[in-house]
Amino acid sequence: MIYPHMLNIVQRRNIHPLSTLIITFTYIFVVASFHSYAFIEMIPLSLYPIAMIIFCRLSIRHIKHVLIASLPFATVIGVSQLLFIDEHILFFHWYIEARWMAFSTFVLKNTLAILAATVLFLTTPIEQLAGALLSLRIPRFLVIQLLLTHRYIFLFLEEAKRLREAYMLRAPRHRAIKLSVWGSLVGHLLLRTFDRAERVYEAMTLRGFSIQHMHIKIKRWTTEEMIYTYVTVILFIVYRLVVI
Amino acid sequence: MHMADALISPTVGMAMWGATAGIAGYSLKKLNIEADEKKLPLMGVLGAFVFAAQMINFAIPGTGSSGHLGGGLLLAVLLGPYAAFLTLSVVLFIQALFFADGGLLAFGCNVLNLGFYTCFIAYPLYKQLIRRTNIWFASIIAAVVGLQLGAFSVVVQTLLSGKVELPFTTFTLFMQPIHLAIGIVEGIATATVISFVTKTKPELSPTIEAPMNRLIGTLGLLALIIGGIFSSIASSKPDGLEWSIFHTIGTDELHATTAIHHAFERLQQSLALLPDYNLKSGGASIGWLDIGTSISGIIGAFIVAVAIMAPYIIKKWRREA
Repeated sequence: MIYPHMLNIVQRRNIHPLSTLIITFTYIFVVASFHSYAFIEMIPLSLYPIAMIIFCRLSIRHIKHVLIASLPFATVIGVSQLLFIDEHILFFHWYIEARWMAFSTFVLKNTLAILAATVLFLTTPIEQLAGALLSLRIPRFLVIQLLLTHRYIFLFLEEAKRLREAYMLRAPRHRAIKLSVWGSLVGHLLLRTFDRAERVYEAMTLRGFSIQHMHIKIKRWTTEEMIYTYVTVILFIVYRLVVI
Repeated sequence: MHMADALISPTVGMAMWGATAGIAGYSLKKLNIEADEKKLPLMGVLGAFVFAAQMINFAIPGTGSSGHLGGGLLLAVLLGPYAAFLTLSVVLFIQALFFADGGLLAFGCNVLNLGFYTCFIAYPLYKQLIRRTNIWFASIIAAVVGLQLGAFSVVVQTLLSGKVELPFTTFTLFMQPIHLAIGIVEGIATATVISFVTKTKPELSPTIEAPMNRLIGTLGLLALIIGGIFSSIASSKPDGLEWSIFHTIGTDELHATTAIHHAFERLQQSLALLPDYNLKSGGASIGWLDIGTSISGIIGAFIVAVAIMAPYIIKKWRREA
């Protein structure tokens, strides 16, 4: 009876941000708590991100990019597992080299944690996430900081890209910018940042901004969403307690 | 140096979240943003600037490789330690959430490793050095110290989590030299930008802000060094009382004989976080340095500091209430 409601919530891609936030943290907490050889035990946990990707029709392209970006880290630490473990463990009826099990477990754990965070990011717009953080009593000032930084990050990334391209077009043989030129380039970017901050402050003041009165919409947590959250969280915790 | 969730245990992750929340609360209180609302957009925009500046690589002369600005020290110099710590926390949260760079559970670890040491240890050092030397020397030394402490902290957090089988010595010997090189590059990059701003717009030259009581800071650092390094040497030798007992009855500890003694001994052993000044699971060692004892020393110093400070903090809270 509850299941069709929960499916409806997920399929509408309109999950309450607080639900996604709590579920993601519990999920990562549970994944991180497994021991170094718990490869088989962690496989059922992959159902959560996979289900979310399918039901919410999340961008596979973005997920692929994020996973590829995390690959160097996973490889370096995973390979170190291969180098430093020298024992055999019982896997069903066979004795196998523990190093490969540890390597696979580490890669799976890293992938699951990244997938969960990516699902949170792709299903929750930043404004809704800000509302969820406020309802968790995170100081308003920090939440406004989050919104401001997020607002300007993509603008500045564009600007940085243009700066780099402009230099590379003028110095095609250079693989990176010369330090003396770099100082001036980044310095100018910093000065423009100060100017922009000044303009933003003036615009905010003119519109009567104050930290306490800035409106951040906090969505109402419906009973359905609450049940969905509790059921999912309890499922994760029960699974962790049963599979030791 | 961003740690991923797969590297740490939930216990370590949550403990570091708690520590980060405490420092962020303290920074918010010290910052008093209501009095200086102008800092709000500046912090947001500078956070985005640091992000963008990391995209612009520069060539490292004579090596054929390139580096980029980390930005922690630069933020501390431009904004002061409290605002910089909060800005870095927000930047790291965005990195973890939108770019999967560093985990959500490991967020507390990353804020401490990249933010705390830079803002509350490297920056005060920079402040002291800049009065005696030049921007370049101060920046390089401060960046190296901040990154070395951060890198060591990564090693300790990984070791305490016990999720990967990296030996302490190998991991430390791998992390510290790499971060020495990164620290030097970071120092040079920071100094380049600061000296450019100082020359171009002297009115924007950063103001130096006192981050904490100098005496408490120095004593805290001393306690950590003594707890971390010297406890390893000291604890292997018997103390005066143990020495006397050994020469009197041939053993260095008196053993319980009655049932009550045994019951309390068992209770004490099960409750003790650091039995015999060592971690319950034991630990690795590098030469004379016993890691378990060293970490116990650091934890012990921290517990003592908290115990001493607690009455003052409670008294202050009551007075404010």
